[in-house]
Amino acid sequence: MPRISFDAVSKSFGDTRVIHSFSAEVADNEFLVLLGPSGCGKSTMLRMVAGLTDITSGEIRFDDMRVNELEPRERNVAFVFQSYALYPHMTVRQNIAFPLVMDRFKKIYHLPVVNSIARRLIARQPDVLERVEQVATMLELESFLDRRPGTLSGGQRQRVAVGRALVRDPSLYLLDEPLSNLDAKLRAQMRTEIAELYKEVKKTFIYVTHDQVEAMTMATRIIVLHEGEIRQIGTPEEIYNRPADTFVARFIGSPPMNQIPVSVRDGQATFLGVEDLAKAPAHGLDDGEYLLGIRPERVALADGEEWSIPCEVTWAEFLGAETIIGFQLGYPERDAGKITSSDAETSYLAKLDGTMRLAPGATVHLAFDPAAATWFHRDTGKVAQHPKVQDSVTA
Amino acid sequence: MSTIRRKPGQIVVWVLLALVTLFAAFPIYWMFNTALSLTSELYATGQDLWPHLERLPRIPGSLAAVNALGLLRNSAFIATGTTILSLVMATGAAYALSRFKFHGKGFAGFFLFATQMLPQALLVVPLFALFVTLGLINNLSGLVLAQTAFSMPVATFIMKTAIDKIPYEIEESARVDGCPQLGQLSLIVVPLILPSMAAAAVVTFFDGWNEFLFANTFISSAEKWPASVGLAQFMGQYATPLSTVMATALVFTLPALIFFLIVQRRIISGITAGAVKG
Repeated sequence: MPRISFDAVSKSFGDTRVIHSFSAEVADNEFLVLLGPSGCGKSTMLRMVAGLTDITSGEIRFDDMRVNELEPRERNVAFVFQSYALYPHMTVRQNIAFPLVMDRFKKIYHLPVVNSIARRLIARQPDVLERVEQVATMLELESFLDRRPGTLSGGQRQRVAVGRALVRDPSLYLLDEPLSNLDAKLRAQMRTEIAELYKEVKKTFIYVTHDQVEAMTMATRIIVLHEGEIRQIGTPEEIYNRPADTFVARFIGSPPMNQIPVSVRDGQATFLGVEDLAKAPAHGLDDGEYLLGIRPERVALADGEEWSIPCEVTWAEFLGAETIIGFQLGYPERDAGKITSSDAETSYLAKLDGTMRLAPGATVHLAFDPAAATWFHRDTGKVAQHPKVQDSVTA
Repeated sequence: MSTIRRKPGQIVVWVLLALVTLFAAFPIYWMFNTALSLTSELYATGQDLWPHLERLPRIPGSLAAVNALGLLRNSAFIATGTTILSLVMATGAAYALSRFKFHGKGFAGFFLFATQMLPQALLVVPLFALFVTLGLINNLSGLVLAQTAFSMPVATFIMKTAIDKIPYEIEESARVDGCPQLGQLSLIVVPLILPSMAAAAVVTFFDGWNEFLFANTFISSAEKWPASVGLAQFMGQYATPLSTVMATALVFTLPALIFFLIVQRRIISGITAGAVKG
């Protein structure tokens, strides 16, 4: 089981740079999730680890051994593709046995005609049969072994793909959005199964996804990627509670974190556009321009005593256990057109109790604990101050 | 409900189909009929609409007299040789054109396509000169080579289109599983494009089977004639034994028909379904 190090790994396709100097370490036995929006380079990163894509510059090492030039097979990795990539002309049994068959293939077996005979003969060897059965039992595929992938459902195909990865007992599992072709219910089930598999095989997993739920529930560590750059590396808790910049803050969490532009003078934050509203306390921050980051679940209706600001409800969605409302700062009739939030097209969000019934247009007083806010520099987007109080992450 | 109601529109379609089938099949029937007619009937009294089946036993004799078997053997040699050579070369070429990046790839594709733009008649003279130099005149293998030059590009395009449709991940997956490039081609790609290979085989086989122009020009000795040339030679200046021509022609169509029936199953059964979630 190798420790994997990335040393300034970069990748360009022609003149387009898709990975910028990626440096990180993956410990043994880790479940690392590469998380990011589509087109951020996470799949390319995974393919470079597998050896399917060349590295433009930099170095990938498995236990201090440079693997840049090694073929995928020599790296002893297994790869589960988003599209499953099963061999449609082979049965499930032959699909799962294929890596074992290839292990025993001699060069001469690759001659036409000889190869398909050799493939069948090797697949009938007792130890191969036994190992395939073993994997099939583990993944509950016994009754499908003699069927072709085309006759299986999405979830079953997914399992065959995992089985094919599992059968050779590789030291590193690479999974490229393996759940994205499944429906929501099946996805939740397979998520659990992959998490269990990870506990069972005790190997290193690198998992690529754009789904934060998958990342948060399965990862031991997450690398958030954006436009080919690492934005943050950390445990799910760190990523959620201590986002390194506005991108991570917005990308993780649903609904995303509010980022309200403010000016800080003498430990007091003035909301831009509605300067006459109550100022938020901003202890320990230098004077300057900031974004005040507050998660929607941290925003609540004011009970009258504490610090609060008047807001206009722009929309409300009742979701059962909770109600999500969109709001703008200030009084609607007085402040119309004055609000200059950084993203004026969207409202800020609050996640309220499901018993709340608020109509659009209503004026409410909202409050949040300023100590729970994350402060970002408005020019760089980097974090200026992490929250002083943190959610005890609900496990 | 056990009876299926036929709509009037359907009946019209069936009648039309029956007419078309009749139209297409009639020449074959007439060939058969002519083969069983006497020359005197053909030229003088007129041909009966119904075949004289009692004359069937005479056909083998008349075929043997013109060495029909030898003609067919030569045709089979050219057709089979062209098919095998074309498919082997086209598989490699199609895979390379579909999967590899190399300088001159566009040109290579265009060059293959360009071969189809030149009429065979234009190439007879230069090819003749070339074949004389290479000692391939009056040689069936030479005909296979000449024919392959025309068939292989067609087979390449048919197969390239098929390979293009195979998701790249399947080969990458094989690569991760430890399968080298040649193995990916032979164990993964070829089984998946078998239907298209069968289609390409039909095209190249018929190209070879129907080869006439080159054979007529390059083959001088009668025992090396393919059936197409042999048939043409029956037409004499003073007499054409039409019934023998038709009997030979009938036998000439049969192997091709059988070959088509064998590979047609392959063409129909597409097996790529389910490779990737669609």
